[in-house]
Amino acid sequence: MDSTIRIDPAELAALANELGDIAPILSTVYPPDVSACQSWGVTDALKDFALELEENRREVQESIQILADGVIKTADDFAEHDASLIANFNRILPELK
Amino acid sequence: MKVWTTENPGAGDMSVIETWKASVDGQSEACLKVIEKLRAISSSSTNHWEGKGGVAFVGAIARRIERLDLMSQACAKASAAASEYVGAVEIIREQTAECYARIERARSVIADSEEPVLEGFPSHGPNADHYEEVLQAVDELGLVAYRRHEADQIFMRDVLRQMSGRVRTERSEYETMDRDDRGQATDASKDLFLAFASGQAPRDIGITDGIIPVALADSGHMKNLRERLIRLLKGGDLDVGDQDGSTRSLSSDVLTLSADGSNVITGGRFGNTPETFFGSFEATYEVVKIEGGEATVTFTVTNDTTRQSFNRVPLVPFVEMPWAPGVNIGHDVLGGYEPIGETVVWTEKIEF
Repeated sequence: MDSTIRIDPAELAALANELGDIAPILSTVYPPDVSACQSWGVTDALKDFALELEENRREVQESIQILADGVIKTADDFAEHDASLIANFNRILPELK
Repeated sequence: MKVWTTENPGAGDMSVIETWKASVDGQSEACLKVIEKLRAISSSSTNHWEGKGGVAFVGAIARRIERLDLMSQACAKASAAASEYVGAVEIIREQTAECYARIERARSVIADSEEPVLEGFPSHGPNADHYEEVLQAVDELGLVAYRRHEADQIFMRDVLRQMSGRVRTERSEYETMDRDDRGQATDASKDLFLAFASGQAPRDIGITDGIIPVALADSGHMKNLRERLIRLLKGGDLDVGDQDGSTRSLSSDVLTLSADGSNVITGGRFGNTPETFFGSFEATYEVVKIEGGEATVTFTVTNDTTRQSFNRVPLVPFVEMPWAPGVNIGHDVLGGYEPIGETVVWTEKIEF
């Protein structure tokens, strides 16, 4: 384990929640329908751009969600680790007395 | 779908473009909002998460911020292009109305005069000036239509340039293709030719994927342009956002012409068919990113395929290709061979 590690699992869980909350912001705007545009080439360009934008948006949104899930798991792991440390300490405490 | 015509070059529903722009603006703002929140999270994470995991987390956030920033910039540039386009079409509408007003005024004068209305546009008689005015207004309308064509091309190019580069190509990609792959390039060029010959094709064709960008990226002209870029990058003479380009001209290059000629004769077996089909074209580049010894560059090739360019014999003025009579009949009788414009965009990573 990293000797300089300093983690507050509760704060980490809060971070994960924040990340999870912001990911949907990107999905509030959808590419518009440009099927009624007035020039063939322009219509295609706008459609292509909107599709690529949507593809990028989805990838970033998913990656933020994956990051949030990862942070939640990390927070859980550390919380479990802390509980295990406390249990171990409680177990050896009588022996120290 | 309503498409503008030479009689009405200002046609089109600009509210569609405005809606598209508003949506793209909204996406740009959403990206900036998320960036702001990610920065705050990254900053606060260092207070309660240190060590390798914390550092990795900050790095992961930074990569997402970088991507969102690119998305936001792309949206902002595409939105600005949309504003310019709407403005250009507005001017085109005013110019179209002015042309028709000029025609109508001259017609009224001719109709109201005591002189008999003559066939055609005679250059003599008391109303000669008014007939001339009609002719000039019709000519002007043709110019306005060309301006619309240009506005479409510019808007399309600017929007396509913002795409993050689904087409990535290596310089030697086309050369290493087997015969079947080259056949695809020939087929794609034939498709473009048939679209042109049918007269039913879109006036502006945007191409961002498939074999044509790959073949053009590997053309001799683009190799020369890329070499020039690499020299400038090595010399530190290029920055992000810099743009330049060059023209591939048949009229001034005998070697290019003979290479194209042999390619036509052999049905595309030994040459680069899309390059031959495009003939003379404009190639521009824009530096998108420079990192270490690698630059991300977006290339744009624009070309107009017209009956005149298709028929002319390069280097020999006033002489037409043997197929010219058939092409002219196809145009006059069947309505084919209407001009088309092609815009091909791709992005490359260039090491220097």
